[in-house]
Amino acid sequence: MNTGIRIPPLRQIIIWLAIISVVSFSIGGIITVLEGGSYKSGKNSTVTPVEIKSGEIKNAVVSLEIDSGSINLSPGTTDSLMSGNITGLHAQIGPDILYTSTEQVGHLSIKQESSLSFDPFIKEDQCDLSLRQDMPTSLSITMGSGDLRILPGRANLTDLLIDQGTGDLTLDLSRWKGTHLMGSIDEGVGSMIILLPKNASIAARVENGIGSRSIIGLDGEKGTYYHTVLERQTPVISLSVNQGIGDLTMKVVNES
Amino acid sequence: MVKIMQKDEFLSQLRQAIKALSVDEQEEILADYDEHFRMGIADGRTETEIASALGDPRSLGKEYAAISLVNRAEESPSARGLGRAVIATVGLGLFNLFVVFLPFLILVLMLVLILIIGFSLTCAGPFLTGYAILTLAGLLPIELDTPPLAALFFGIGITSSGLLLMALDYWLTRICYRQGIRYLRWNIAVISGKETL
Repeated sequence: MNTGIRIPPLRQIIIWLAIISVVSFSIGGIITVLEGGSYKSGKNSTVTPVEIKSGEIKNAVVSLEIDSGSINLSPGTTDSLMSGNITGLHAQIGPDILYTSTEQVGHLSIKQESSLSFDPFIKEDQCDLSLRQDMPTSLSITMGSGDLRILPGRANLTDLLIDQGTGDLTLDLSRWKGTHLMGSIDEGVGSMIILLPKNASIAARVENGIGSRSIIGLDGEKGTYYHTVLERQTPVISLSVNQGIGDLTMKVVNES
Repeated sequence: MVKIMQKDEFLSQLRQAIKALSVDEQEEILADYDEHFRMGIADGRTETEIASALGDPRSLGKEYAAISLVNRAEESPSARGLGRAVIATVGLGLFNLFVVFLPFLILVLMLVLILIIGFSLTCAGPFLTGYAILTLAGLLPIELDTPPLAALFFGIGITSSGLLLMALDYWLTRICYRQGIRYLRWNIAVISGKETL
């Protein structure tokens, strides 16, 4: 029985489906690019205040984990371990902030996962945070995609771990006031600027793949650099830097 | 070492080895070998000599079974038929475990994986499209990270991509089936010595 419905040949079906796919994704992409900014701004962004009181702790372990966005870390006050705001578009998700203290050590974890849909055009969450200055602190920052501006001022960092996928990194340790600092910095793609204090003895192991390397104020070559201060009880910084693609600037500067 | 055997034993072992074939095919093959023996005896050779010249009846039987199953898989294409043909071909030698069975398994897994991905996208696309339409109509709050109109087109794109993958998978399956049959035929011919590498 002839139903009148003729199924087109497979090749024709494949060609048509390919055309529909390409056209649909293209139109969707164009609309996202054209309207993405205004659409985002039209949505309510959520501001989550962060205020972690130090209490009786003597040491702190701070972990920041952001999927996409930016982190600005600046010097803070003495009564708060960390304060500031996290601005994002994910009211329904929100940052996970967990603070516990055991045996006079405060453990702070701030985690913000990005939305499920990939958005390459607009950076999602912006963290403007301040870190307490006088307390020995172990700081760990994990960033998927986005810029990091880490200016901890006189914060007494003892350990520093930065793991960044893509984005630019500015790390200013020129005012660092501690006795020893072990740092490990890994960055996939993006530029990196590291400022180090002149009054500290520094040993740095640097590996960067594609991009320029500018080392100012440190001696050494082939990835191993050092800056020595011949004074008693000189603070010591030991750094391990790994960078995939991007320009690297490492500079020893006077306290700014 | 070649086992010494008479005609009856040879034909009995051959019959046993080809019992998976149809009765007609069995009779035809057995008649052929019976003819071989009769002609050999007429030339003054003994049954034992003829039997050793013909080779191992079990190997011959396996080869006939494999050829028959490959022919059947070609005449009436089905996954089961091809699977049986592959198993029969693997039975011709341990070597075929690596040059027939493993590639066949990897190919099947790859095709199934593409099908699953295509099916998942085909199912997911309409959800996104529907969600975008309801959002555009104001029936749902805006919770998408992309503009709803863009999400509508992305949904259509995802659906058509899923269908495209499934269509490509079907096309690939047909090609792989045809080439698979040709490969099995060539493999059997190489093993039986009718063709060289």
